[in-house]
Amino acid sequence: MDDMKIIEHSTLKVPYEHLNKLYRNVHKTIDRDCSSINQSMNQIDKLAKSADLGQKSELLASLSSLVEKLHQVKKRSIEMRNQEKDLIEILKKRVNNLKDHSSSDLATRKLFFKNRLDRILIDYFLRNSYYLSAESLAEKAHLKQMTNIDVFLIEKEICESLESRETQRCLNWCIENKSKLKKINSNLEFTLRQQEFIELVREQKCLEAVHHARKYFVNLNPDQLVDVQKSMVLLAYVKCSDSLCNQELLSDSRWTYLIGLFKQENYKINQIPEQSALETILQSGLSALKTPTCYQKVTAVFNHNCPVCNPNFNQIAKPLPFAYCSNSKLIDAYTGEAINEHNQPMMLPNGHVYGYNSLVKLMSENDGKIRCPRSKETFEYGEVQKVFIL
Amino acid sequence: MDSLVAVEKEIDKALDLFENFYDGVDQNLNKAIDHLVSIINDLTKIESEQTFKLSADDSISMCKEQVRELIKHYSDKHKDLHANISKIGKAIDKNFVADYGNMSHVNLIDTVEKKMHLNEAICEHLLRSGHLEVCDTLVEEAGLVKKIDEDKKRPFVQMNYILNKLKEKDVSPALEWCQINCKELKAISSNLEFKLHRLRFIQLIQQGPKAQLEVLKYSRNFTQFANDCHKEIQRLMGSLIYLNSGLENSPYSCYLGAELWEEIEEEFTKNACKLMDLPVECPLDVCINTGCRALPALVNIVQVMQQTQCGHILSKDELPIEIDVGQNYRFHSVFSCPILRQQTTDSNPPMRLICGHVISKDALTKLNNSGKNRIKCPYCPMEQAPGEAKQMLF
Repeated sequence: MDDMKIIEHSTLKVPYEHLNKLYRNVHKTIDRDCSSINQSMNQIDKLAKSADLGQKSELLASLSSLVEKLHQVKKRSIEMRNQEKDLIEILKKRVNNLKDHSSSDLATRKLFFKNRLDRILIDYFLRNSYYLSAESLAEKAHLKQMTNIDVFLIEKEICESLESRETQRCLNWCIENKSKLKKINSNLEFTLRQQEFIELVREQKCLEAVHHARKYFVNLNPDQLVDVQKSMVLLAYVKCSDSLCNQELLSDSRWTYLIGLFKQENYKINQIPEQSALETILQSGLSALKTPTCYQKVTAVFNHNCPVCNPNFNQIAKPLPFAYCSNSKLIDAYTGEAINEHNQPMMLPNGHVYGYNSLVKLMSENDGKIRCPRSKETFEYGEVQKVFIL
Repeated sequence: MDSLVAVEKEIDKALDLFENFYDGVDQNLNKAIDHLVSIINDLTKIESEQTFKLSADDSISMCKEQVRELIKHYSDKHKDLHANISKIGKAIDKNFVADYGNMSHVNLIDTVEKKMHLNEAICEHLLRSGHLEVCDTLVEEAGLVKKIDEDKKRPFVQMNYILNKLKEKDVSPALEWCQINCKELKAISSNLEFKLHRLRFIQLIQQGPKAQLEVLKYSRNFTQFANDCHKEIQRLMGSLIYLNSGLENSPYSCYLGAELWEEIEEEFTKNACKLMDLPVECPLDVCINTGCRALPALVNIVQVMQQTQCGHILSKDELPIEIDVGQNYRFHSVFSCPILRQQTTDSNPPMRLICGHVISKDALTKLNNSGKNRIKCPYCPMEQAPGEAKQMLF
């Protein structure tokens, strides 16, 4: 298994889902066209069977209109052909782009990894609603085709409408994706209807609320029924904001919950993973780099280059597990060189350990004496003791 | 790679079938339209009642058959295409891992503060890679309080400018920079300036005999490096012999490679970062590279552990397997006690016994269990008192 298999699933699955959706719509159109042609043909057939010269013009008219219909069907089929072809081409382009991952040319590979990081960042931006940054980066890095910006832009519109307390757009979206939402047992439409009910009661339009309930609260499962009963209670109060349980129903946090639920369902039906690629990869990377030294006071050697010591990542990596190390791997605290059989470890009287090469360097800089870079004490070479690491 | 090949195969198949399908539809529609048009023309000409009835009946029933075939083909064949489309989806699911193999366990960025830290790290990355406007947009959209002011940006702007020029094989901005920072570069014993001069020298030689004088004049630039790099300078001056015949077929052809230019870009970045007191490689890059390397092994483990009920690997104190991050990405010493097989920490530091062998403090305590106040090193016959062991700091 290589990293591409793990990271790029949604890169290919999302356009595939688009293709699937388009295919279904195309098929519906085809069925419609076919049945309409069939209808006209049957009509003409009937006319022809009982025809006489007097109905000639009628027959000819229907024939002409059928020809007209066929022309339109032809035009539509060319459109649909192009649409379906375009989507398949997008899939193909993405597959081709991903091939660079295993390219034999180092420069191509480097560019692929650079682009991959940019794509991961764009995905992170989109999930956090930084739409302008995402578009800007996609443009600069010429990556628009490889990202799923369009899915998120649709999401943006609906989220904005939910934020302004409108449910219609989201409901339209639910209807569009009815079958898929049903497959994942989604509660979204029901929650939307419930919110509409609450809003009607809040505006004191109680009769309308009851009509609404009668129309939409049908075929409920037991959990939903309990929810409905809770919200029905609102009708009993003259002034809604009175009791405590009503606070929860009337609060704005329900709208925030709705937005979150919508985003969740949107990701599910588009085959977009719930956690961003950035977070997943960072988790693994930070954990693999995390050593106790990054967090300790006594032995802490702040290495400039270590990402976990970087103040930003230090906080983020705190709850993650440490990297597992079966054999000791030592680094010289002064030069960053590896300490091994070619650069043996030596201990100064103050307990600090450096590689032999560093001691040589330190002695050349300080008249044959060794000045510990960390504690600033000076020692003679004779005071140094050898250390054996197994 | 073969995962991509498998998916591509299905895609190509689908493309072909779609093409054939729509070609067929087009053909059928054209035929039907032509047929109908000819029927209309025929019928229009007919004046007699009887002929009309016969013709009408005949041609319309023929036409009916044709149209029925057409719509059957249109609908059924399109339905058949669905199998190919779902094959693509199945190929993707089979060859790729969905949902990152359940690696995502904790919500890594769960507080506003952590998000701010991550956004700042991303801003640094964007600055380093030269996407300054994107960085500005992000600062605004993410509401980062610390606005990245012009002073902080300037060194990155300059660095990116010089790097872009190096990509175009123009060394002059880089040389200027070296001359400005000459003292600091000497302090870190960098030979960047010499390497840049060398590249320019080779460039001039490639211009052939007409640049002879210029080449000689340029070689004066090497005098300042006479002490440190005299061997290399000797070698370079020898290349003048091939001024006429060109360097491609000479022993100097190695100087023409593109790797030298890539190397100089890296060298420049390293030196610039050292001078600006920044990490050589952007921390975000290091994390992402390491993460991508670590993911396959970790996903494997997660899959295996899902059978047992051990809990997710990211909820533990230590990863269950070792990830080789490569020597470049080893930034701290890790000492693993050979006896207890644990990493040493502040509370359990490494201790050096008199004989020079090193074990962890916990191991030392365990060896002293008999309470005799004399312990023997596990690796050699040397005996000592536990208090004589010295704490080490790597």
